[in-house]
Amino acid sequence: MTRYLIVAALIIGGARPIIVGSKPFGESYILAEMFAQLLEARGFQVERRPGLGQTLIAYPALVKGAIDVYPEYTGTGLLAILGDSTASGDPRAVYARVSTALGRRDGVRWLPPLGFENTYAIAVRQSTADSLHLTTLSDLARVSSRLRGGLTADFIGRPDGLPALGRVYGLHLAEVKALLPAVKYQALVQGAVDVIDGYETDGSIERYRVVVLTDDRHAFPPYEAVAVVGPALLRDEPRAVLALNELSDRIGVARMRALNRQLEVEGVPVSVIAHSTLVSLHLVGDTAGTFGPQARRATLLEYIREERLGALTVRHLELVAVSLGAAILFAIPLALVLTAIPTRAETVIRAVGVLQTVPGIALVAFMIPLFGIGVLPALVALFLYSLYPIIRNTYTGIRDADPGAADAAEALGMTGRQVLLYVRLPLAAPVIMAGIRTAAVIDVGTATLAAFIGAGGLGDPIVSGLALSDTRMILSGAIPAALLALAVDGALAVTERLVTTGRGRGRRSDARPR
Amino acid sequence: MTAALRIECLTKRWSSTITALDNVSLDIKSGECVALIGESGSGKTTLLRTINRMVEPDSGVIWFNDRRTAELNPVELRRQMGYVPQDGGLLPHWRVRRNVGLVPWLLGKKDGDIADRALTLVGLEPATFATRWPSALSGGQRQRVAIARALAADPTVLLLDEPFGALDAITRAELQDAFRDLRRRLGTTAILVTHDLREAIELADRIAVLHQGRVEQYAPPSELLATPATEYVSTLLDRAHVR
Repeated sequence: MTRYLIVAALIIGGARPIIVGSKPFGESYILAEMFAQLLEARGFQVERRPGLGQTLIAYPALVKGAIDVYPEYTGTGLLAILGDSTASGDPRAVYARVSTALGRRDGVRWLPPLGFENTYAIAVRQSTADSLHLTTLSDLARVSSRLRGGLTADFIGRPDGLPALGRVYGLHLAEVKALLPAVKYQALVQGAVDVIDGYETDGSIERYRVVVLTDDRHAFPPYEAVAVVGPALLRDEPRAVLALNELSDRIGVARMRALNRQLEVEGVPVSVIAHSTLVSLHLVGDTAGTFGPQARRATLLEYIREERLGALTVRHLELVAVSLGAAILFAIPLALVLTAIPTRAETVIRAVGVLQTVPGIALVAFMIPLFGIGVLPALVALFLYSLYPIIRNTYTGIRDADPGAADAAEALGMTGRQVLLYVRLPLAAPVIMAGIRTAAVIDVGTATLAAFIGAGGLGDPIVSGLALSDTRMILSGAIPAALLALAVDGALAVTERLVTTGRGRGRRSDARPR
Repeated sequence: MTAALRIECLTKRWSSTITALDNVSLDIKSGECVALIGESGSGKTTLLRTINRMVEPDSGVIWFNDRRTAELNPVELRRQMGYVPQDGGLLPHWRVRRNVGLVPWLLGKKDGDIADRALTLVGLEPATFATRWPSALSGGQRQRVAIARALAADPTVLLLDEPFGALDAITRAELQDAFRDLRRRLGTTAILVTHDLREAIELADRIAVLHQGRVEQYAPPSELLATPATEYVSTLLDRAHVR
């Protein structure tokens, strides 16, 4: 009897879902969905966390155990994660180096490669290639000082990206703009930029008929796609790791390019692509009928009507309400304290202001080692972003509140505390409310970033839509987010009127400086 | 009559070069109205504000009812002294009645009619004015409310910092009359800062002329007019065309 109970407990205890993550671009979505469906077919429960914002969020999330597996590339492991720029051109050597070093350092396992390489591809418009006679990167280097680049932030910063082109080819562009992966092909064909970075397997290369220049001097290291497994899953579910291994060496470059084309050009949903691939690889049984009706993209109306959108809106509002509430409770008392030490106040407020200048994605990345991924780090980041407008307005509002009235109140025998509570604070209320409104609107906008760390909200369809080049999906998140910002501001405007109601408007007595 | 306030050797420097009060001594009798007159920077407002300890002097002593003010709790001291600033200093987010009832409220007095009685005293009909916002008052009405607020808790001393300075000539004359009547009825000790010599002569029992932080002359108006003590006082009288 006891033995059965223990077995039952083990089964229940072992039934935690395996969390499959991906980075925010189409190929990563497809591979992650294949991992997920394969695991489900082998009897595991799966939770999907797609679209985690780039390597600096996805990899720490894996190490921390916030996700269990996600698709990564050996070249990325070597350069971006390991920080080793002595790239050898040999794929086997790079895989061996990365899997050994990161296995030892972080306890993760790089499974045997999936079977294709996806290294950088530098692309130009057909017309540019024709008029300047470009076929290789050496050709491009000759004319690069006349061309404008639109490159992903990753590519600009990584030693194997733009710096490698400078080093190997002496290539220096006239101007470099940082572009999101989702918009760079459009920017190229529309002539906003002349040169972009892409990946060998990009479906958009064919879709937009752009020309990929040959890496004739092998500046780019090999980028083999690999399922990377986190330490928790290795320990808890070795069978899941075996299941994921079934995909090793099964996806060739031609197949991957075709899958990307299906996603980017034909708009086939990720789940359908993943399923049909697993079926054709004989890894899962054919249940094609299940996906029949969904085998096309939804319209905007369908996206907006979808039930999930309601839940995302609620989550978005929760993120804003909790972070803003906490910021109000923290910032207003802090500002009150600061009014008592005016010599230090500016320093403190400026320090808080510096937080405002940290880019959202970077702030969110700093949170991962402390709070993992999900709702908590998103709340902390939003809280930090909300502080400045509230502290600044509260402090200034209280300090500058009708000096004549405050002085008279003190001269008539109010204590400092009474002057603060009964005179300065109520007089500063409209200014404080204005600060809260500013913070709220910033918050609603910034909360879309929460999607990058798997916290949900209306950023979810925006991030997915960007990754999957699905404009309607982007709009299904962006439009409600914009409306939400207006609604929140409107609601706070009403609150503001209630706070300051009755008060004689305008005509405050001006005190002469004494 | 005993001295309500005795100011002894008061000195206040804002910095090494700016001296606001330079060894000032005055005594103010109970029930007396004293005007502090002088031009901008003469130290008159600073002197007024040392009395209710809104400004702390560097040296010197102020006796209030035979106690040093420096030994009293400044908050409790201020609650015994009415205060009227030039702009009225009404709290814009409180209605007139609450403004006038400020000091009784601070003192924990439960009498609900105090504010209305004080309003009546300064010639404002409570039924009309008590529920108004300060922004709905004229300049003269605002100063009347400020005086009502200063008087509401029945203070021993009333401090007024150019209370009629920002008003037009007709309103100023009305308020000066009202103030004189009030003082005659209540007998409150009052210290009035002004830069208007005519106003000082009209309202005060004694006038202290301040110049560069020093008292040039401290005398009743008639004596001041008849025998100015210094060149400066003489010039002041000439410029004001009061002789």
